[in-house]
Amino acid sequence: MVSKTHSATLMGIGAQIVNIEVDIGEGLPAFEMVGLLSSEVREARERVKTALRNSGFFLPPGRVTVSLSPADIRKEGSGFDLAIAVGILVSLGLIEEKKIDNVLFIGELGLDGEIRKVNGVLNMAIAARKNGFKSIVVPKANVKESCIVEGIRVITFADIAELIVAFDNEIEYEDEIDISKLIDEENDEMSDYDFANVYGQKLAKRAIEIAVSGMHNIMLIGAPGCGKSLMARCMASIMPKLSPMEALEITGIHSMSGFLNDNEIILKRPFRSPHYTSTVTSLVGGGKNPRPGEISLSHGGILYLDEFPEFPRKNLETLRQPMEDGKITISRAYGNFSFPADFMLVASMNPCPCGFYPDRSKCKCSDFQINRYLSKLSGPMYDRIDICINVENSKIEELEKHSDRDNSGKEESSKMIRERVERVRKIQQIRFRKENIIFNSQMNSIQVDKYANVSADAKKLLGMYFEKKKMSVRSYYKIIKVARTISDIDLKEEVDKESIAEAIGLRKVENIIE
Amino acid sequence: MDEKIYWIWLSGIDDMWSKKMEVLFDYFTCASEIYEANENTLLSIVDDYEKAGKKGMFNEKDVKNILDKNKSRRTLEKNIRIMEKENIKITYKDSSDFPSRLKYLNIPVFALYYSGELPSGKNVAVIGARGCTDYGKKYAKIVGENLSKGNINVISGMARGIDTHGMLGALKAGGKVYGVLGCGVNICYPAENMEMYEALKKRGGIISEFPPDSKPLAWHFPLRNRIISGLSDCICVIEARKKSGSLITVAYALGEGKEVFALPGRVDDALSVGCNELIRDGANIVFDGREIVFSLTGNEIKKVEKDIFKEMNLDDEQKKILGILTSRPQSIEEISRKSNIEITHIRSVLLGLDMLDLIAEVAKDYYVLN
Repeated sequence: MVSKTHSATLMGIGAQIVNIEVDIGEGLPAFEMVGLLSSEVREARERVKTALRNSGFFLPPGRVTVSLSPADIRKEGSGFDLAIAVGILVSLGLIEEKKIDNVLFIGELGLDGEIRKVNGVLNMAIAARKNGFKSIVVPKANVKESCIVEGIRVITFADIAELIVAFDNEIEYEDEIDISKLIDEENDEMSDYDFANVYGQKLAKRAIEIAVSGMHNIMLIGAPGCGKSLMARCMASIMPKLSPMEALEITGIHSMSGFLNDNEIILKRPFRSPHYTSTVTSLVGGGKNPRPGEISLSHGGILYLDEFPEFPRKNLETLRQPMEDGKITISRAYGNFSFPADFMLVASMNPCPCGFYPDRSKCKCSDFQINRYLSKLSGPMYDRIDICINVENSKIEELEKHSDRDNSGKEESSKMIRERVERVRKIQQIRFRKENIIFNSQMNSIQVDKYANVSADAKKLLGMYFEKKKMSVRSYYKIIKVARTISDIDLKEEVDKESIAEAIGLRKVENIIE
Repeated sequence: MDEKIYWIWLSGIDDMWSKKMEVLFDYFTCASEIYEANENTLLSIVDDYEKAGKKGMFNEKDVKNILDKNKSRRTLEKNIRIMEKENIKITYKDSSDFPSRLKYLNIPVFALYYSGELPSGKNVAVIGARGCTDYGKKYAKIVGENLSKGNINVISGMARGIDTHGMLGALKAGGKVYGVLGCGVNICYPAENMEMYEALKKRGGIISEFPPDSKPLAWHFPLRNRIISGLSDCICVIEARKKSGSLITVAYALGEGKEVFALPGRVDDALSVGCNELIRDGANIVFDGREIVFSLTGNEIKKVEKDIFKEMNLDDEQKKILGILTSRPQSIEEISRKSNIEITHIRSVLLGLDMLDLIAEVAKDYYVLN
């Protein structure tokens, strides 16, 4: 008898439903699998046979044929095991065929019949809902991510034996999870990476607030150990809370990359910090069957590139297009795959090779060495950055003030800063309601002229500076964009002189450009 | 052949340098005599030399190098070619234009290659650390400028840092500047000083003891320093660490009984320790170079005093910041802390001052007084 079950395989960020047909006929005992299978799918044969036997079901001697369709897409992963096993059980008449109508099966089998974790279950659950499935069977470790998808019922079993019993009797469904409540709970709790734990650093905090408010990419320059990485980490905590849609999307990306722990849901904005030896593929994504890279894993959050000048220029060059589009498209012979990649870039570097310039009591680098180090950053790389600041070591008095456990020295918490950032984001939302952008940093030159609203004397100041420092036109517009955000933070309708001056200070790097 | 040619031949011989020449000129009077000398004469010098117990400096190998005329002629021809092409001249101990005091140094100088001209009149060496601070750069420039205004030539090693900035100051004021190199005159070292190297050929000179195409080897530099001190009437150290190469030059100068000037710095500043110790040990203090002019020529240069506050119509905040800034780089946070100006506002005040060229940003978010 031919049985039909369903599973899914990942295709880019989405998933494709796979029909699995199982036929047990007469003939010499054999187990055949067809349908453009990768070797891990092919190996399902041994896993399924053994798992069934160890769960107490012996395959009758005969010819078992398993076909996975559509036959023209390559099937990867170990998530088909469960569907194949169920197909066999149906063929054997151990499960009623009508009970598995509209059910999607996902799971890898252990030899003992245990149903094990699979990557990308969330993406498959979404695809299942889209394709009209009513319920989905997932491994225990993937339950939570499946439960946040609305409109599909989730079933889970520890092993095959449990599954058989349940399908014979009554099926229990898991409760749906209200993700927005979880997000609120998670984000209201103070984490280790909270600005309340960053003492002093007023200058840096101000610049970071500006950067996050307008989604301006930022560069932190500072001596080793001054807190650049800590602050970069904290930046994610002042970004607005994830919306349920975003959380779903981000969890999906992490799920398909295998970065989720058992029953984890991403409720906070991601922070990714790839090392400068990372390859292009690991940064932007790729592979035969494309997988998302660091830029997609940091979607909706922060991509932190520590030791920025050490990154090979070629690798940074590949970031340019995704940064403009907010997504990365990878082309393969059998199709194009698009992954979201809308992140905020935070870069950091030392001021000189040893890291202590201009403190000449520690820095022994020659001007020549310093210039050579800084020149690695020149031109095209610095174009990606809107704001550049120096991070100084916190003063010892600041640190002592905090160790006193006296409330007087308490720093503003991330939550308080986040509320201001959310306010500025709202201003931008209203400003750009007729455009297809959401942040000040995304304005093109025409939009700058239309929306920036720069006062006359501010324009004059910028013009003077432009002439004096022989600035590029790109920098000119970048300064106005940052100034617009500063004015938004300070609740000013017009971009005034003060905002422009601060934006110039945040942008310029003498010795590097301009 | 012209005697000059013999000198170019002599200095181009492998391993030949001043110490060896010193031995040879105990026996010979001029370079042509050495060229004509036969093996026996030369070997007897080695003998004599070793009998006197001074072993090693002049030996059989050197005799072989001197006698290997084929090889040394090739070097000679190459050097003459370069000298003609690059307009490099040579002067030696018997020439009328040879700076005579170089003959009486501890390790005498026998011949000099130069591009441009040789220094005449009063000369001052402005020297110091290569990795210097902005304070050092600023004062090297000022001292160089004032020396030029007092018609005094500036000499240094054309190294990075203080040397370069002292020369820049002097060039800016229109004075003559001489660079003594540790490599061949036709090589610009360090390469990024190309512009200045070219300027020096026209507005002073490039001088070296080493034949054209010599590489800047480490052992050349202490030797080069003795020429710097030898050519100078006094030495001015702008910045030096506790153990600095500049102090070698100072030691040479003291040995020759020359005056040493040093720019004072903060006591705890690593780059001023060398200078401060010199002052403690009796060196003269230099503030801006006018003291040196006075000490050498008796002339006084007037200092141009400007009241920028009045002239530029500065407001209170700007004045406050000018009062806080020094030549030591200070971060914006530090300036904000000291001036009590809000972090959100201070960039605007600083930009105003920057536009007036009163302050400068030396590294990201670090400012100094201009």
